[in-house]
Amino acid sequence: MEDNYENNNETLYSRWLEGKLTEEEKKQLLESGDDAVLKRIVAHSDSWTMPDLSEDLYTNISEKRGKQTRVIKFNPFVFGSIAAALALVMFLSYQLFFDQHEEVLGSAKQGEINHSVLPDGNHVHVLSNSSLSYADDFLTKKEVESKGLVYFDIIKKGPFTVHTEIGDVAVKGTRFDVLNTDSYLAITCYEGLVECKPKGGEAYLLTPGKSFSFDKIHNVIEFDSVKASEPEWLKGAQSFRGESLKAVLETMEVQFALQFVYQETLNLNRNYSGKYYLNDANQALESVFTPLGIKYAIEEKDGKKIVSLQ
Amino acid sequence: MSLVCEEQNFQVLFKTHARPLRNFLYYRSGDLKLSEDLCQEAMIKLWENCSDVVYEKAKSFLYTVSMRLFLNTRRHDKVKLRFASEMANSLNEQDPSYLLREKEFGIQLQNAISDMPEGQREVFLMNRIDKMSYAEIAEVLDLSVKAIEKRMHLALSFLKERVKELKEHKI
Repeated sequence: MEDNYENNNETLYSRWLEGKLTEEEKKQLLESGDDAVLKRIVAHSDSWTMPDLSEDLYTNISEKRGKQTRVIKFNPFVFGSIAAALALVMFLSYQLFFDQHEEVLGSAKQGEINHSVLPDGNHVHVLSNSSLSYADDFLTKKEVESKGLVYFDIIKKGPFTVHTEIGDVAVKGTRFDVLNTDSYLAITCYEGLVECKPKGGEAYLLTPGKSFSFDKIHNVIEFDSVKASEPEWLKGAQSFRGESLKAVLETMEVQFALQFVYQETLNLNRNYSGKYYLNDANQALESVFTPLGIKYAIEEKDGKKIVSLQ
Repeated sequence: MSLVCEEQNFQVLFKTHARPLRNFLYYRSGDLKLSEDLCQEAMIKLWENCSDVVYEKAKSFLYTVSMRLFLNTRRHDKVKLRFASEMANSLNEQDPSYLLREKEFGIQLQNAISDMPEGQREVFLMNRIDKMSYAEIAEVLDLSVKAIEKRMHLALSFLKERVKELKEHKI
């Protein structure tokens, strides 16, 4: 009997606060004088205030976020990658301020891929004729500049696990590749999350299997989907499925260190589907332009192949 | 789906949760500076893990992480909580002795709050100062609503007993 009475009373005052008492309970509280005491307590506690947050709290958070942000600078557009690892935010921008820097050069041998490990343990794959460079303060700044075609495998910085009621949350990394020329940028995300931001433009988030391209000259942004879990070019080949000629030309320029020259009348929106291998530029050119019925001529100039399309 | 990683969303989470979180940590620690530091650290942890934390779970993440940080950094010292009170403004009473009594009552109540078991204290203050519902408190403390109601009852019982003792001393 005593126990039951106690159980019913375990929430008496909290129900009183919410106005959820039975008539009998209300009467008892009033008669005992507790109602008046409780009201006085609540009136006082409700008058208490806490000071405002320090004005610099958010600034401090922003600064610390900045410090722990991995920033990677690229040519020539701004873009970033956000992943779970301690804020893997990568920003790429046109300027490169550092003088002293280390360079990861792609092999001179056509189609070869240079697999390197950066000082922070992250992996990069640099295609022939492409390059990646970073300054002496890379470990604190996390900035690199890439040219050509580079694949980034950003591992977690963890280990860091958060236990929640619905399960454990583990920190993951991100993987993506970046292809860029002076006027073209293409990014494909294979894991994690990548944010791309053309200079002065909006930011776009890429989830795994999504790609983004930006043609600076025509100011055209395109999105596409890919099924692969890593770039095909890592295995020495390149396929296109209904890709615009523009994208094909930009990709080939980077992959074979070529320069295309063509009339303005050339229809760059034509679609191309096909595949070539990265170890032989001549064969690749043939396999792309023969099916499209485009004639081409190759000449060497200052060690660079110039391909004129007719 | 809202992403915590997006700057705009992160800012909304900050504006919504930073203050009540800082307050909660103060109710626990009685140390305002420490509360702000822990709040700041928890927000940064949220950012660092922003792509692994579902937007809707960001709130519990903040409370869980900051609690863990608090337990790691400090023993359970005896706290002494102090709050500014707007009581005097709300009283129209002109009688100076009445005002004095109310002022003294407020101080004794704050002392009583400081002596209260922390589990009850934080529930009581989150409900009264931050106007969080029992359900909201239950969510962030990872407890049932029933448990919150019981703690609220115990908190009021505790304060009521202390007030009765005061009455015997004519305050």
